[in-house]
Amino acid sequence: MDTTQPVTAQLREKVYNDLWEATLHAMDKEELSEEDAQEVADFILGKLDTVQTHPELFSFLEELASKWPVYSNVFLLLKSEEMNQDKIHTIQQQLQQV
Amino acid sequence: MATAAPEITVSHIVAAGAKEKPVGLSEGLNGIHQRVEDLRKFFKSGREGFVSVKEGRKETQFTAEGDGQALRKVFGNGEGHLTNLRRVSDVDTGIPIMEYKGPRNEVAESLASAESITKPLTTYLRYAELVDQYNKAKGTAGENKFFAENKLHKDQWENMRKEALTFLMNTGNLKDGMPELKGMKEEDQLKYLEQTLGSDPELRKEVKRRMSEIFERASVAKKAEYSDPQLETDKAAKEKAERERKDARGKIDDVIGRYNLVSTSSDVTTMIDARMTAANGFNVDNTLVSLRQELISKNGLGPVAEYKQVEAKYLQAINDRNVLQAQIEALQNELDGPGNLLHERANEIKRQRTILLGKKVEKDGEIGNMDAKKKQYDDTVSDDKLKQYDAIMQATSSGEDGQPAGEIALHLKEYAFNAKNAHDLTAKIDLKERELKKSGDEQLGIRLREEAQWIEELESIMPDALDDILLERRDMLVESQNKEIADATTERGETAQKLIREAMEKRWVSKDRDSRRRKVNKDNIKDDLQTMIYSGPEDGIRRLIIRDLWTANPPVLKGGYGGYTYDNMPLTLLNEQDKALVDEAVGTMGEAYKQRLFTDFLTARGMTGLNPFANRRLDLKVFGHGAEVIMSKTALKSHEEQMLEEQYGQYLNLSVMAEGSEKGRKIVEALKQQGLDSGTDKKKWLQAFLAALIAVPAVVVGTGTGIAPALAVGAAVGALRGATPETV
Repeated sequence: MDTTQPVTAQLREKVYNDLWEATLHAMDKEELSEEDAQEVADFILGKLDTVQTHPELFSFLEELASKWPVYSNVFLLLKSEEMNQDKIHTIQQQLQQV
Repeated sequence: MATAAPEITVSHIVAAGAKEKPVGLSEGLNGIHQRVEDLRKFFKSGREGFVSVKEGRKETQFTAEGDGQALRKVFGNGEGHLTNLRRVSDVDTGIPIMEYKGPRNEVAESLASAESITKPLTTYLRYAELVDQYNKAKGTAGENKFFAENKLHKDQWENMRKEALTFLMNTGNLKDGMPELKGMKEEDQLKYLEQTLGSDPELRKEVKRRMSEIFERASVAKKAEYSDPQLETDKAAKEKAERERKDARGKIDDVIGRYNLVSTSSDVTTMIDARMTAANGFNVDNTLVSLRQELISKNGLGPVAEYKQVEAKYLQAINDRNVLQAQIEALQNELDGPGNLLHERANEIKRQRTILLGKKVEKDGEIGNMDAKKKQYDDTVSDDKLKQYDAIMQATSSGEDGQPAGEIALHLKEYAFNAKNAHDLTAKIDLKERELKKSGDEQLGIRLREEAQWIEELESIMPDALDDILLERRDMLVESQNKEIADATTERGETAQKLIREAMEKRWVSKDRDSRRRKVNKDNIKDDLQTMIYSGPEDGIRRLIIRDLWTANPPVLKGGYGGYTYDNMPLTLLNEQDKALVDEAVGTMGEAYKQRLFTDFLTARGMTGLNPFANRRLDLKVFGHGAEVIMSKTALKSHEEQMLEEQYGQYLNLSVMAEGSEKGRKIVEALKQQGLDSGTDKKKWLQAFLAALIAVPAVVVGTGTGIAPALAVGAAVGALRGATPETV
């Protein structure tokens, strides 16, 4: 992973939307109360706007998932997407060298 | 297995009635699931959603007084200070007679539209929050306390009550759907509405919830922006540059004053401002020259300047002569030196010396003339004048000749720096403002369209809340009715029951399990009612059930007759097996089927989009789960309504006893106490709409005859007539 790769506006928006969907799902399943959701919203808004690089982003997601496990799936999914991107990038580089 | 008619017993009612609290729409919808559904619907952007959740506003926190006011301020770009200069001109001459700053026209229109709906909604909500409290205190010592605590005068309360109830009465099809309301005196109308809908806590809660939802959403919506932080920074920097430019000019004035140089501030200001322009490249040197000339001229130092020029030439001439003298002496020394010069060199030296001597004589002449010229200034050029002149020259020295820059030059450079800065910033600000205006106007258009949508939603709040309440209460009635279906005796009979159940769930008022959205099919309801009317109580139900059982093709009749449809086939020609099936289906489910049809009919006709007298709104989907109303045909004719009442009055007038519901009984008693115990001769079932609203499901009772009520309206209807509810 390129540790200096900046978090783009599109990625930030995607993370917001994924976390929002996870929040609604958890509230609907009564795994998250509205009071908890308020605390979560405060946490997310306080951090997600400030992360600049991918490592910072995943550090934030990991912290979020450790505080509220309902976000584990979002963290794992985004992590897996990130790793896939890395693999694709590696393969592309190898192909260019052939 | 017995095929007893379904029955809803008193125990159902007692059980439900024991709760004695509204258990309809609000409790069903206002839980976390409703909240999630609202959030999902209103916030497509995750970030906006989190902002809203963080704010943590809920309908329970929404207050009519505070938030109702705040809701109004959401409109007009959220009081975005979008003002422009408006002129009021004389009508005849067109000459402007007044100018004032006010909201831009389109913003003002949005504000006015919002005001026209938020005001009555807020008034209603405030009234509804207080009405029970007031009615308890009314006529007692607590009445004054009520007014004091709520900071109201009696007149204000009366006005609020009237406005709220009038708004309610004019909502949707309420007035059109209940002709008997029209026949009442105004105060009686208000009393009637107050006892029923006006004080209905569920309606209040629904209205509050919906207002809160809009407020929540509108509060975090993006406003049109005509400014940005950089612009503000640039404006501040420009102001600073302008200030420092003026300060620099002031300092030049100070210098002029300090040296007693005759000039005026305005002269200097005019000159500097005229010369230090972008067109002139804010050129300091040129301006310095001009300023110097101005000062010399204004101070009468022209002769000094001339003298100084003469003197300069004089000194230059002396210098030139001294150089010539030095050159002559050098040649002479070479000539007189110890060595022997070549003949040619000696001649050359002599030749050059002769030329230089000639020049020196000439220069001496010049010096003599200039000396004489200088003396001519003795009378006009005093020492003071010379000092003044020197001061000007020194102060305006640019410093480029190796001399230290003069004070005026330094201040003028400061002036130039700031003038250029202010000029550049002005251009930058102008450009930015043009861009912001363009993008701001674009954003404003989007914002105002959004505001228009909120206004439409606000306008729909009351009718939709009424519709939703009807639908929810209908659901609760239907749930009670479903419990009382006898089992079929055969496998075919079970299949028949299944098909009929499906038809009952889908044909009139249906509900999508996923979206929870209802579909109210008025056309189907009307078709089926007409079949019931024109085929009569015996055959009508049979024909509908045949239609539902043989969904694709009608049954094959005795003798192989065909070509009929369910509504025109001769029922006597049904073969024995089919007849037995239909008989069993009608026996086990006929009453439930009719209950459902009439329940759905009464529900649907009470809904805003379905009123037979006011077919105005077709799609009720705005809030909550909403309902799609299918309505392409006109309503029942009046004679059909009459036939319906004659044949099926028991399902319409409803055999309900007032004492079956504590709430219903209290309402009826309260109305009686206010003299509203006599109705009109209007058709009783036309009152079903309002009665259905006031009679919570708790009043559903059975008559013990196997005929269950479709809707609990008898209590109110009967009591209004001053009699026990009738069974027609």
